[in-house]
Amino acid sequence: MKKAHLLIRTIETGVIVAVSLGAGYALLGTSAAFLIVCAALALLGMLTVVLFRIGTVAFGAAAIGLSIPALMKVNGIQWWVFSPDRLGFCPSLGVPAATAIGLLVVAGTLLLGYLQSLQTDVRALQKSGTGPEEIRPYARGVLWGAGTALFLSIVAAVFSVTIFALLRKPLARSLSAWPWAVPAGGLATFAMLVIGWIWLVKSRAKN
Amino acid sequence: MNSKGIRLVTLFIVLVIPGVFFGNIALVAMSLVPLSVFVIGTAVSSPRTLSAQTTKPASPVWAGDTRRIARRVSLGSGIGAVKFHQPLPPEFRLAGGTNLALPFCWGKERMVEVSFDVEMPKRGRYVIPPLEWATEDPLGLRTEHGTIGEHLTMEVWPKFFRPRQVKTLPALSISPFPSADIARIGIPGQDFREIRKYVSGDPIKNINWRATARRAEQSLWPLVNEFEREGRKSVLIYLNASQAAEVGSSIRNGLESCIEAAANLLYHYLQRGYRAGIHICASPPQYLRPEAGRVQFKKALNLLVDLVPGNRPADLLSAIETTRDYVLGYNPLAVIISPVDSRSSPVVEEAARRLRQMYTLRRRASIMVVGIEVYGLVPTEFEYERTVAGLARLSSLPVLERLRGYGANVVEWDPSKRTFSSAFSGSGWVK
Repeated sequence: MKKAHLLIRTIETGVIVAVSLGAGYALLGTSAAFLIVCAALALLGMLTVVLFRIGTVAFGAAAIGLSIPALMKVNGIQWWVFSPDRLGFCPSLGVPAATAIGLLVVAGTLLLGYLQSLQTDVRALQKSGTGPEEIRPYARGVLWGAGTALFLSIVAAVFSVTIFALLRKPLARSLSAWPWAVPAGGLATFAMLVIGWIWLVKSRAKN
Repeated sequence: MNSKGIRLVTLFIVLVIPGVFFGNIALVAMSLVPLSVFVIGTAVSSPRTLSAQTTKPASPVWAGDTRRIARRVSLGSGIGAVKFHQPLPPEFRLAGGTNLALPFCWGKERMVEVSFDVEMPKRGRYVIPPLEWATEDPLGLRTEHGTIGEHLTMEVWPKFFRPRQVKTLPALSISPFPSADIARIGIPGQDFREIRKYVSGDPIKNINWRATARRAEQSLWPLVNEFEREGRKSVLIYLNASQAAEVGSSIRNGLESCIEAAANLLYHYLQRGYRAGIHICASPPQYLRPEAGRVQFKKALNLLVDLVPGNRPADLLSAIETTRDYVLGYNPLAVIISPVDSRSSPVVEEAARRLRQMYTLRRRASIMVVGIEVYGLVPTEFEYERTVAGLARLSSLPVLERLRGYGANVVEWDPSKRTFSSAFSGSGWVK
């Protein structure tokens, strides 16, 4: 079982390094300061995820936060700190590159979460006296299940984005007749999402 | 929906709102990842438990025996991890295998077996609850749990030696009764023996009305003719089952050793056709009048299995008084089973003295004392603690000598060093 723990920690370290490189590049491109940001984010990940096992929320939030400027620069919108003239330090990424970095950051964070909960389960089972013959098939199944789901999610996201990119211009032309459609649709979506989230939290509290 | 699901949905909302608001395709694409994970997790059904078959362990079970418990569960189609756990009573110990199973199902129906060996070191009645199960989808978003299978009731008897062990013990050819002692129970013969006071159970036809009338002025109590009898002799066991006897651990202590000794003696004498009975000084006190046969042994075992310790060693003296009439009338072998420590020794001495008084000069005293040395059962960590047991044994030697002075045959038994059968087979009559 020590080998299994070592394998999981190696995978976690690899994911942390990849996410840190992606987020660091998204923030500062290939300048010298990119290495500092990358190392700081990687250190945060190693401490919170690998060594002290606090959780993946801090690392994930930091990685997404560092990627946001470059992602917002893709649109070229003029809004508050996300105006292109204020985001001169970020590299100008195309939509495919920005999407790839975003997917790497989100999928990597989710994978780290599953790996950490798996390790916690395995440690609890070992403490209860369960042997490696029972634990190994269980851990393998959980890893394959989570990995397959994440892979399918990424494929679904890429597919959806591709379709949307293809239909973007025709959609924009048809929506130009109704300029209020996009804000209204956005507000309606926002309201539905908030109501749905509150319902989920309440149903969990009831169970 | 658990916290993992809530977090996925929260991440989706946090990413999709600015993505839609700013029309940012990258953010929208990022938000689709947690949403897809959530949808996949909720769409995939976790395995369901359909039915369970239980293999009941072989009975009877004696304390210290190991038995195999097995449950076969059929799982329905579904993808995800299943955890099975068989809870056990705290007195049970796993001797082989594991009471936990973790199969991962990939969509096909299958059978899973949870089987293990368990050691039952202590007598009692136990209930093994149903098998607990918990299923989880591959992404850990939904967990269901429940129980399946039936309760298993197990009755664990105190340890006692079986017939093959008895036959191999050379000293058991020594009769516990002297050859001159004629039993008072059994088929009455023709030889007149004596006239004595009426005792509950005597046939009415044996009342000697003339002798009763002659003594009416002194005592209005019937007198009966007693004839010489041949047949089954009787044994009456007094078991000190007070809390004072519980010296040692919760599994192995003085009380359990007393119970083991009582079960051994009952089996030994009943098997030889004696009438054997037992008075248990427990809470509440239990008295089983001496009878012969297997049914008597089963009745006694039930009392021993369900025994709850009593409050005071002095209950032993009440037991002696309760059975006075029987001892006076039937002259049984009286066996006192008790620890011989500082709390119980005075009571045991007094009990032996009172029993001795019940046997007149014409009746030879038939008293046996099984003295349990309990301090050897106390778990010790340091060398000097082990000498406490030796010192306690030395302090009990004067008590044992006084008991021999009352005419009792003393069987000293240290449960930490040998079995009861070896201690009993090494005993002889007081010379």
